[in-house]
Amino acid sequence: MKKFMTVALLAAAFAIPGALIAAETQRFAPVDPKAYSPAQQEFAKLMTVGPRAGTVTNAPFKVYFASPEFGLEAIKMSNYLRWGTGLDARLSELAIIIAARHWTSDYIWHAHYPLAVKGGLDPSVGADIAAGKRPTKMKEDETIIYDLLTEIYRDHDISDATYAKARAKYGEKGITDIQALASYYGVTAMALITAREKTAPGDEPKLQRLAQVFPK
Amino acid sequence: MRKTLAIALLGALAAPSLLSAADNTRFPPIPADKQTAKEKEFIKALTDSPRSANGGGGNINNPPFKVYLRSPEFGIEAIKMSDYLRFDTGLENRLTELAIIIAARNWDNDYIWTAHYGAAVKGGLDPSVGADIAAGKRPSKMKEDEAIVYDLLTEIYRDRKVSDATFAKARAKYGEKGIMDIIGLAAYYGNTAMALIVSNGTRPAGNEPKLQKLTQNFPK
Repeated sequence: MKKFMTVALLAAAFAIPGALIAAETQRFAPVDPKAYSPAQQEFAKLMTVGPRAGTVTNAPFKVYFASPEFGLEAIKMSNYLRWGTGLDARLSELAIIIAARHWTSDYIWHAHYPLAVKGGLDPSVGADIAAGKRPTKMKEDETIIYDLLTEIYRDHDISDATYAKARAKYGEKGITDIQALASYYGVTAMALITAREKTAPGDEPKLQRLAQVFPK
Repeated sequence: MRKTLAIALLGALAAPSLLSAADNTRFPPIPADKQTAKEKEFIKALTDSPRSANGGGGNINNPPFKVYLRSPEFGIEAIKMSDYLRFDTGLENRLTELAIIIAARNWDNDYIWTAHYGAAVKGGLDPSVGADIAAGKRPSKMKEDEAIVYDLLTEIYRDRKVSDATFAKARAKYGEKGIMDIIGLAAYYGNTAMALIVSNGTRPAGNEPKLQKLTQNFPK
C-alpha cells in the first residue's frame, strides 16, 4: 500500500508539475457546467440577458459566480445602473471611469475608457483623469459628475455648492443613480482585485500610479 | 401685481429659517400620498427585510434608505443584496460585523462605525479589535478566522492586491463562495457609505471607540 501510494504520488508530481502549480494558484477556476447548482444555472442564464453578453468564465463574473445568490443581485443592480437610469452613456461611462481611477483598476479602465469616448466624452477627459489631473475639457454636466464623485472619494464629503449643482441638473434620483453606479463598480473592482485579474492593455491612456488620484 | 409680490416676499421673510432648512435638507422625507408605486414597493422591501425583525434599521426616514428611495429600482436591488450579505451567507455575525466595521474604517464613516461596532462586540468580537482598527493599528487580539477577514479586506483597500498567502488562507477557511461573500459585504457597505456621504447622514455617537482621522487607515 505504502509503495503504491509513493508511486502514485511520484507519477502525479512529475507527470504534470506545471498543471499542479497552476491549479494551486489559479483563483476562481471555471466550474464544469454539469456541476452547476440551480442558483449558478440561474446566474449563468441572467448573464446572457440584455446588452451585457458576459460569461461566467470571465472576470468579474466568475467571482460573482462563486456566490450566485449574491451574483444575481449584483447583475440585476448593474443592469439597472448601466442601462436603466436614463443617463447618457457618455455620463454613465464617465462615472465608471472615475470609479476605475479611484480603485486604480486597469481592468475596468481598459474596458470602459473606449465606451466613454464612444459615448461622446472628449478623449482628453479620460487622459487627464488617468494622469491624476482635473480634466480641462469637460462639459458642464460632466463637471458636475466629476465634482460629485471626486469629492466623495477624496473628501468623504460633498460641498453644498457641488450638491446644489448636482440636484439642479440631475435631481435626487439622478444623484442616487450616479453615486450608486460608481459604488457598484467598487464591487466589481474588489472582485477583480481578489481574482488578481489582468487584462492586455489597449491604446487607451494608462492609469498612472499616484499617491493622490484626484487632485485637490 | 406688485402688491401680490410684496405679500409673497413678506411671507418668505416670515419663515426664513424654514425656507432655508427646506433648501439645505438633503433627501427630505417623501409624504406617503406623494410616493410612486415603485417607491412604495421599495418601502415594502425595506420593512419586510429581516433587519426589521432585529429591531434595527428598516426605517425609510433613515439614511441611507431615504437616498435609495429616490431611485427605487436601484433601492430594491440594494436591499435584496444587503439582506443576502448580512443575513444569508452563513457567516457568523462576529465575522460579518467585522467586515462591516473594516469597510467603515476604509470610508472613515462614523455613521456605519457607530451602527456596527456594537453589533460586532455583541457578536463576540473582542472590543479591542474594533478599538485598534479605529486607531489605525493592526488588532492584536484577533482570532485566526478574524485575521483572515482582516488581511483579505485591508490588502484590497490598502494595496489593491491580495497576496498569495492571504488568498490561500482565505480559500482554505472560507472557500471561494465565502471570499465573494466577504468582499461583497464590504463592497456593499461602500455603497452605503457613499449614500451617507451624499446625504450628510449623521447619527449621535455612542460610547464606542471613535474613528481617528488618519492619512493611512490600515497600517502596512
